[in-house]
Amino acid sequence: MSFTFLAPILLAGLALPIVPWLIHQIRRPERETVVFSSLMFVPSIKQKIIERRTIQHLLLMLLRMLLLILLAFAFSRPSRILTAPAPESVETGRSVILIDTSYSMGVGDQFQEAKEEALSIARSLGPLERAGVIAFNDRPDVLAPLTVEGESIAANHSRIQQAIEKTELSGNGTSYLSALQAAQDLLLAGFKAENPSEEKCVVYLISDFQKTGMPETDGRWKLSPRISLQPISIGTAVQKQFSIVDVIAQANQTGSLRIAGRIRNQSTVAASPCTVKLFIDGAEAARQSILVQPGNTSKISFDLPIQTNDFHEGYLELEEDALNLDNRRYFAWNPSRKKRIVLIADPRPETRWPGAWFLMRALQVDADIHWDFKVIQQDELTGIIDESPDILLAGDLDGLTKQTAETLLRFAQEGKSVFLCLNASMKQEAINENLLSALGLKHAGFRDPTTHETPFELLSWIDFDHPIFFPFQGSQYNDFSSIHFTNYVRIESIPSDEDAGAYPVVKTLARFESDVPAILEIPYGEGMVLLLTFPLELEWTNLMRSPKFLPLLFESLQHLAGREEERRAWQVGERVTAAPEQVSGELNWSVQPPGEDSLMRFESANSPILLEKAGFLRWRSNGAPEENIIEAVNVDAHESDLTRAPLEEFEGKLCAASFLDRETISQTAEGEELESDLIITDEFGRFFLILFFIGLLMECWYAFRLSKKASSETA
Amino acid sequence: MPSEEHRIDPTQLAQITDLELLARIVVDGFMTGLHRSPRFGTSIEFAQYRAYTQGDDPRFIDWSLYARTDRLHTKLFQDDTNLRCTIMIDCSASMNYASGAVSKFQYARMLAACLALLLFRQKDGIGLIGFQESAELYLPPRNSARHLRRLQVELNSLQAKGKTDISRALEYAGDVSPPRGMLILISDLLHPVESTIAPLRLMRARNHDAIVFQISDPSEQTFPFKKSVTLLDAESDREQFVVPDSIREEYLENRERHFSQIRNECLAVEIDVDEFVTDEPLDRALHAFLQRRTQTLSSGQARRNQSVMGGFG
Repeated sequence: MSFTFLAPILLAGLALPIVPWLIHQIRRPERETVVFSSLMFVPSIKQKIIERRTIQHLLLMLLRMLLLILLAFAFSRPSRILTAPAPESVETGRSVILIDTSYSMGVGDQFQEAKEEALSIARSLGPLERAGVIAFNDRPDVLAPLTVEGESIAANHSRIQQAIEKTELSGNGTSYLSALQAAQDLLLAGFKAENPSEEKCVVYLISDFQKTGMPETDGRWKLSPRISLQPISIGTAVQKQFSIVDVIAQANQTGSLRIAGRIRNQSTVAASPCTVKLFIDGAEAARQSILVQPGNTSKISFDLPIQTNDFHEGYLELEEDALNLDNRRYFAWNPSRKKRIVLIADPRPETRWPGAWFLMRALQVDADIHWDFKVIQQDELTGIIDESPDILLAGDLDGLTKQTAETLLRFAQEGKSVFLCLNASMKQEAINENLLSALGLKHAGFRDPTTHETPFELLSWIDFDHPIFFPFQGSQYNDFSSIHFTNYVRIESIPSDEDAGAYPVVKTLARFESDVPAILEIPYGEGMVLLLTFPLELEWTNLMRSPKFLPLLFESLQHLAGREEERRAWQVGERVTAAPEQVSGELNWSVQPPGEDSLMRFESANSPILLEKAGFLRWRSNGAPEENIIEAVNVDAHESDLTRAPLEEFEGKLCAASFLDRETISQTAEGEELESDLIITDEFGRFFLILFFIGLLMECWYAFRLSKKASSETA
Repeated sequence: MPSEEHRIDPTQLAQITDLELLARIVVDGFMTGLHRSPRFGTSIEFAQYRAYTQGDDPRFIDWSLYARTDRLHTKLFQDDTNLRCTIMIDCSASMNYASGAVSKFQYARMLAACLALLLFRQKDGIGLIGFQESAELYLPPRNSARHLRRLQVELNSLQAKGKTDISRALEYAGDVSPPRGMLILISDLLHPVESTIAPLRLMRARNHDAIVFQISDPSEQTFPFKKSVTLLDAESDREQFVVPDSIREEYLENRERHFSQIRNECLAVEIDVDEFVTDEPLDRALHAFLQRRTQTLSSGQARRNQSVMGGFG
């Protein structure tokens, strides 16, 4: 350990103390001697005062000189440094070998090369040097800790060699930050804090130094300057490297399955054609050749004439190149479960075009893949409830019995949806008492045509932000002026009664010109009621003849049925967790991760299952076999980008102390230490600066005191 | 009383090296006639009769009166030529101090020359003592043009240096001066009070008249220094560092106390003390001297013994 100055040139400031000396000399009281006739009347000044003043001024000058010396010292940054001895000459020390196991290391023999480098380091360790091994990809894995209780150093060396030999390539991405953090934690955990200079700490980082493994921003964490980093770069630039960036399966309009993917040319050489094969359900289904420019991405798609209501799994595959793990990308197709819609349509012989007629034609579409549709009458409602439909579409009721009203409310209470159209056959008192009063509404009669100039009304206000009207937001779709309403049921809200409790919050989605609600959304229990204040009959409205009818109906049903949950794409290295109800509920889920032959049960909601390989993640529900799911697990697409990070960037983002100048700063003179081996342990610049400010305060106080005293003595 | 235009600045007078010329310039511009001899002697101005006693000069017996009264009476005349005056001039180094163009010594020398000429014209005898620690020069009182010229030459050759001892000089003057003479002391009086006053009292006891001209420099009166300065005593070579602002008041108090004491002590023995500053015109000094002297004489004449003096005795 020794002291040095980080900015020695500023020591030239030590010449500054001459300034106060000069000022004191210049401002010294003039001692002009004047011959005077006689001193017999001149009162004598005490010589002691003069001597004291002289000493005080001298002290002030010395204080000022000291202040400037302190300032010069503060800016020249005196530091205590540790001289890290050269590895060859050090007998004690601690090292951590970091081996990159991300799948990008699978290029050629890179990974084997990395292991050999690691073994070479392990063999060259000094007799008193302990080491540990961390394999890292997107997360670190301590394969061999630095110390095991009672273990000799020779045993430590042997253990780390075994750990290195057992290291395997993973399918994960890269994260240098977490790897270095783990290495630092391992090294500093047993660091002799009371005498740090005794041990050297070295991290050997064996990696391909991919740019994708770098943190995006310059974070606050940096590798401690007490730790010496030795980067060992593996591999060279590749000639040919294609990767499948992503792949999705989707149903197209014709009911067939479309597989679309994106292929990226990661190499830097000239473009060459690449063959993409599609495998589905275990067999090759198609292949295409595609030309991708270097550094570019191209799309590719396959249309398969297969049913989308079955499970399908498959993958896209590229021909072999420098890195093969990213040449296959999996996808899975899970058929969406059809929503069950039950239309209650009572026979209405008196009506030529009953509302049910339009609804039946609207929903009985051959190519419909979204729902199962069933038509019943009001008296069949109780039996159909046991089949647990998703939506009850009360579109054309002939009156409303109390039992039907209770069923509808109970149905909504349990979390399902009701689509209800009011009509003239429903008696005002009955519907108020049996149904609407529970929703906080009341039937207030029908439209009064005498109060309006026109025989019909339009919709004057529509909530286009609501999901059922959302598709009509554009200016070319939002014109509802061609839809006329000659009659409707005037619905009013009932004021909340404190005794009866609060009513549901009713949301109006559309209003007539008379400001009367036209369409209402009423949350009830766990479910929802969508209420139309008019029947879908031509005597009441021409909505059904409008091109807006079908989209509005479909969006309404989609909204009531709930949106389809999108399946997520998994990555190798992620951990699968289950919700508590999935683990212990009736569904009782199990999973089969890629590479596993059997299903695995979640021990608890907090015990995730690690996805170690690419493939398919199969979910099985013992409680509801129809709910089974297949999800694809793929490698991190970013990892296939083999662009290397410059070491300058690596140093700037992750290391507090420089390691790059290790090669360039050579011994400047014989016997002189390498600068890169110097570790600053303490810097005293701030200490001197604090002393300077304290001294400055003292100087001000002392000068003020002297001035005050001098003036009082003069007085 | 001289008019204002006749007054001449001492700075201009100091440029005249010939003391005789200088004295003439000053005295010629000064109104004569104010001076009257305090002694009775032979002159044309009759004063009174006195009964004849043995030894009186028979030339002054008034024979006409004897014819009328058959008694011998001697006539007494106003004596205006028989004053023997000794000028004592301080030649110590302190007199050399000058804050302006004229030093105290130059001023004293000019004043002495003028007084000498004035007295010469009044037919008085003029003597001179130049003193430092002791008397350096002594010229006994005479009244002749030759003596006056010699006196002026001696005055011209005097130099201010060394220390002062007024008491010794006054003792010396008391010894050598003729009885009932007049002593003019020209000095800065920078000397302990007691040692100055004691010999003056002694001279008054010997019936000498004395008058003291105190010469001061303007700087001594005001102590106008601004910067801190080391003062060097002209006589003792003692040095002292002073902060003028801090000591000015005390200095002036000390000085005033010193000279007040001298003035009071001198007044007690009927000795006039007049202070002249070196930037003050000389004729004003002469006038003040003569006027005050006349007043002193007239008030003290009653107490004086009238003496019958024949001829120039």
